Amino acid sequence: MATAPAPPKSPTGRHLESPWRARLRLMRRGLATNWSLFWESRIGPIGLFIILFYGLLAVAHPILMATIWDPEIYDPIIGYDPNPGPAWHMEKVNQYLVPKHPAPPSAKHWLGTDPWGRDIFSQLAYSARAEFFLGVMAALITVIIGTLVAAVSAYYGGFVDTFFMRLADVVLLFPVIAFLIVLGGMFQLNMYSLALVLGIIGGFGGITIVLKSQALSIKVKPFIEAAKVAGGSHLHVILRHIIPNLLPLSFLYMMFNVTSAIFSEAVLSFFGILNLQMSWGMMVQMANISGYLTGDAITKAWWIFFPASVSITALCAAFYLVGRGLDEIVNPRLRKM
Amino acid sequence: MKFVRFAALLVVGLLLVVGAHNQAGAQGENIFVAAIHSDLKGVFCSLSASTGANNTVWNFYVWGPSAHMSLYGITTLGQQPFPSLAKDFATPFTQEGGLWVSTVELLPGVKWSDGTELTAEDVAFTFNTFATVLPTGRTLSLELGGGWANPAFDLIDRVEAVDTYTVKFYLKEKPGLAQWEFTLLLWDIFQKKFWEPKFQEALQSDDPVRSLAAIECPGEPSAAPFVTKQWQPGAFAEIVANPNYSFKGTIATEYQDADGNIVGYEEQLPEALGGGTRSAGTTSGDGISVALRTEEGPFVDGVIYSLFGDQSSAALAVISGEVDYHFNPLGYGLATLNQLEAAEGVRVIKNASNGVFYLSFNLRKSPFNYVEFRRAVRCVIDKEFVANELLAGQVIPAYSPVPPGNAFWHRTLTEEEKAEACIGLSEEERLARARQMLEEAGFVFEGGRLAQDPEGNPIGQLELLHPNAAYDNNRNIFGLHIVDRLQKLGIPVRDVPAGFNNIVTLVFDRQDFDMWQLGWGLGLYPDYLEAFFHSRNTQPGGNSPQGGVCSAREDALTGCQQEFDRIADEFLAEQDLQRAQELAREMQRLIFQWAAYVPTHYVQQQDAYRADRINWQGLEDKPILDGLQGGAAFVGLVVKTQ
Amino acid sequence: MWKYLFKRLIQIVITLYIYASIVFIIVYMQPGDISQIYINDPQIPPEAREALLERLGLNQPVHIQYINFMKNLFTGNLGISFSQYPRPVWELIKERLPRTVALFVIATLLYFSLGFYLGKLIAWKRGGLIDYSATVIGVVLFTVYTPWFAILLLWIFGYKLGWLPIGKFNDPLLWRQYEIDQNLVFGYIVGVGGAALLFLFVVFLLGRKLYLPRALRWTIHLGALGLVTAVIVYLLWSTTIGLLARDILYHMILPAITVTLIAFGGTMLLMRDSMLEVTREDYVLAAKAKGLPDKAVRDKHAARNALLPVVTSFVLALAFTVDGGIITETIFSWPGMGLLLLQAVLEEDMPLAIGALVFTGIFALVAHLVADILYAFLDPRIRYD
Repeated sequence: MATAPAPPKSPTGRHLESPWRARLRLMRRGLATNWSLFWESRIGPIGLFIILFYGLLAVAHPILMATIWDPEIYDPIIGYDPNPGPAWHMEKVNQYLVPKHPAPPSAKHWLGTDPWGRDIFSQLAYSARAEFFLGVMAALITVIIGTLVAAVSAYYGGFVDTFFMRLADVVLLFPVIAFLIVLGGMFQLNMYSLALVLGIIGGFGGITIVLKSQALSIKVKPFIEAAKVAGGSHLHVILRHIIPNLLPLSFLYMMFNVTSAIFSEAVLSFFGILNLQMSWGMMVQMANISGYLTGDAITKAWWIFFPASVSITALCAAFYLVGRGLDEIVNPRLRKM
Repeated sequence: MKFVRFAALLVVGLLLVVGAHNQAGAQGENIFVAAIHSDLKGVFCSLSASTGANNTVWNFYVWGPSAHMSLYGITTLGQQPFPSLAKDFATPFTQEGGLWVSTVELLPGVKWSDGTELTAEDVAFTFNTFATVLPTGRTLSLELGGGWANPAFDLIDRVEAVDTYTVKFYLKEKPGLAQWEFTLLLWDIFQKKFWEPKFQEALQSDDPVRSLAAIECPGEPSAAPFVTKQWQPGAFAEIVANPNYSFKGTIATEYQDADGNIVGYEEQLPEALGGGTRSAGTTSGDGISVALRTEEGPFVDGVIYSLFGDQSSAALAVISGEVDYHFNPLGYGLATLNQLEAAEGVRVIKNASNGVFYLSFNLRKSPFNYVEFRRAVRCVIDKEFVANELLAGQVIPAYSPVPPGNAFWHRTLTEEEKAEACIGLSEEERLARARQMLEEAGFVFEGGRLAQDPEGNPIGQLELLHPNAAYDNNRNIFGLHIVDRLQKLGIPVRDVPAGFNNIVTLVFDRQDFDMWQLGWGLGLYPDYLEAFFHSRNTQPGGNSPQGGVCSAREDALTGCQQEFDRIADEFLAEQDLQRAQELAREMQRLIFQWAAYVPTHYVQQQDAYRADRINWQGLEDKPILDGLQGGAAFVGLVVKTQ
Repeated sequence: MWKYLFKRLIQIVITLYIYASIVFIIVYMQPGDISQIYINDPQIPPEAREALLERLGLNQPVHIQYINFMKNLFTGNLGISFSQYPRPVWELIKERLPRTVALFVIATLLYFSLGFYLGKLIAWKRGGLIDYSATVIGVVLFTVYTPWFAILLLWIFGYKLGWLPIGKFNDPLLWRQYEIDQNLVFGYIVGVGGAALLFLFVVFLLGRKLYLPRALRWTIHLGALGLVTAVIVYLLWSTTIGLLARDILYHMILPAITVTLIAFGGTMLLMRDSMLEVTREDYVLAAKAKGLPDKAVRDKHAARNALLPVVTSFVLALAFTVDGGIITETIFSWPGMGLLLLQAVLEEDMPLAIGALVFTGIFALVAHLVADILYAFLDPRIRYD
């Protein structure tokens, strides 16, 4: 890009700001306003706080593994602790053998161990990383695809528009969980492939419809016309004008997509469809298969599934709340009068 | 819109009103309520239930006690074939013309549930029908598939009803134990009067198998303790006691010697069948005592199989008393097991299950074609550690493809073999020993990593396919342990967790694999040893995807595969039980020696039931292969004390 | 309008074709096939496996299978199930459908009502404590980890308190004496329930169309409601089918409540947003200026118009009830369409998996069309041509 020409002297003699500095200043001011709006929604910050908490957790795991934790014991997948606390004993009241694992929370294992002797806190933190990755990646792919498709559909209209809208119809037809089950059988989904699949399905689905109507309303604005008249190519108009104005709404939907990605993974893991070694959903599935979610056992080893279930709920809710908080900013219909 | 609210109010109101509902149970009848946690397949008929992919263990649970008896049965503790509908043992095979002939006398007086008598006509009809060759060139037995598929029917030329109670079998070849005592003589007998018209009609249609599999037959005439009644899909199935069950009142006694081995069996028939006694083996003498004596029922009016969504809710139903018994083919998780054992009035009995889980190798590829490599792998796997520590005692370490529960056929290891398998050694000792084995064989280590095989070929990245955490976490943990140990040894192996279908496709269909872990459900007669290790089964789709009992290289050097093939063929043709046992033991010795399979573990069969309401006349205190649920006739014994 | 309908119908057929093809390709591409079930049993010879593959048509080249499949589909034949041989797929769907419909339609009605009511409330009190806390609770329940939540509710109300049954949809000991097909009873529930709703809806509509005075209208509404309730109570208490239906409804309470709790949040927020948008309209201001009581403005002017997106969302939600909540069905042992699909996929039963998916698709497409027409009917500003 050519460098900006030297700012012309204004009639009053003052220098005008360069366009970039102006943009930066406006952005900062916009951010300040938006932040205060976001803060006022009150639910947004709660979500943000929870997200930060789990982010810290995710970051903490590799640090802990590298420093104070012995990998033989604390590895979330193949770790095993031969001595978590009291060894095998007969429980006096009921006369059955209480195995050493799952061991209750202690100083050594902050959230106890799972039935196979692995540290729960380690598993939780390790999975936090995976969940963030999955959620953000899937949402990012969805938003990129969705925004591009919406902008192109709105701009070109006609056959392109109909094609993508009908494609969205077809994608919406698929019962998502069922479809993912089929794909899970086919592709042996792990975190990466799952993120890709969720991203693509989401990207061509309902989000295009919503974004397209927004893009349409942008397209008819005068500045677009002005840009075209000024000689802007199609690509230029789409990239530099339509898409940036779509971004706030895209970003908003990204939050909801993160929620649905994490939730989908947790549900699929529960049914044993995914080829994962460890995730929050897998933790609950393994607890269920071992019978720790049945009858009285639910209170006996709550640490196996409760932290994981709560984490899934909390993280999904957090992103959703952030989305709702952003909604108050971005969605003009909801603006307070 | 108000109407939506009204509608909602209506619904809520109704539900509240309904909430005052009381669960009305039917009292007065003596019904045995069992829980199953997967629904029946196919249509409600014994024929459809075992056809093709319908042939699930759940169908077996419902149709086991009902609809069909056979010429022989298997004794409960001793697991030996013994006459049932047959009056006595079949005559030995003699040659007549080009065929092999045996005669079976039937027990007179056996009645079907509709009052007619079971005669040789029914028997001949059954065998001739299943042996019918269809236009596809295959027998009806193979075409129906599933539980009806057996190559033994290719042997049948014809079966004749010589008179009312005498049946003559004409076979094309002399059969071994596998085909005769353990298959044909155990085959379900169908009633000719009911089934002949249906078979005729089906054979006329375009698709006989489909027509047959579509026949619904609740209330099918039965010679068994029970008759089927109804099936409400998704809810329950019901069978009722057969009022004409001829064997009701039979007293069965099994005798044991001083060491506790089952050596004899005796049956006292009821009046309806003439009141005689028949027996086999040693039933009296020094040191001989009664191991078990039971009277045949049914002692309940009917059985309800109540369907639950999963294993846990079925177990919960036993605890809450909603059901008397839980049919559970897979064993309970530790937490559920503990709850069951702690619950009042509930008892859990544990038995060996007839199945084995194993690790195997692609014998066609290096380094797996070296027995030293396979033995080294076997050495570093600490099965006791995995079974007792990692898996909390839920599985049993395995050293032979034949489970120890199948006591007659199982072979235990000698002391040398146990040392060879590194049993009892610590992790460091195992690694050192394995390393030594490999180096002595000519493998080269570079910087701690296994680099070359004895021929100088470089060793690349190896892969172990094993069940993933979602499919079975116990086996997943086992697989992870194996990979961990191998990596410590210096073998460049990667773990590839996969679902069942993927493993099966890669291993059995495409034969594209290095090492893999799976399991088998086994039958009583160990002809599967031939299936898993004979060289004729090594093609894609066969049961020996690893390539036999030893590699081609080793066979060229020592003739190991040929030797095994010879013994296996002799075993299949063998008619003497003792000799067959020797051969089976010899096969297991060779299998251990050449380490093509490293069996990893066996699982337990666990039966949970309400001991305060039902009992099996003492059977529940004995060791039974596959537990109570494995014996199709057990429901004839259930006594309900309420 | 008719031209629009016609165009849409053509589009539906084309969309369905593409959807069915994609479903076929994806299901077909799964590794392995149902005959692998034989591999677990060494006693079954390889010839039997060949026989099975031939019988199921799995040994034919893929394009032949595809053509056969499409031909059957467009003549209304969904094929024969592999894992439940030889029952036709359509028969299996017919068996499972009423169970799913009964449970999830009732649940959908419940959670939409709850969401509508709450959304209306909190939008009116925007920014207050009610708005804030209801939103958080709604969102948390909406995003709660459903398997765990359902298990928890089942444990509390079924196991610990013993108020409600622990899963299943009927009590075998009660049903075995009657030998009545449970589909009949489900059909009865859906039929009578639907008839009752339809009757009430018609009465309500007539009331509005005839512009009757308010007092009379109220009497008629109450009378109709009373009549319907009396008939239903009579049927439930004095017929055998009614007895069995009561058993099913009793078993339905916990799953329905669970679904309601986890789903109302979305509707509540949708209604809230819609209300907030409507509140800015002039006629609301005018109503307030007229001096109408707050509740009247909220209910008669704002809410009624904000209802539009909620109604279309309701119709679409009804369509997807056919898909069934797999989680609910699994945890509550309620074998419906969701579990049918799950099992079909896990067992590699191609015709059943495809049939169930296609069936859901048809339902959804038709519901989509109905929703669009309803939208046009309800909002006079929208016209299709």
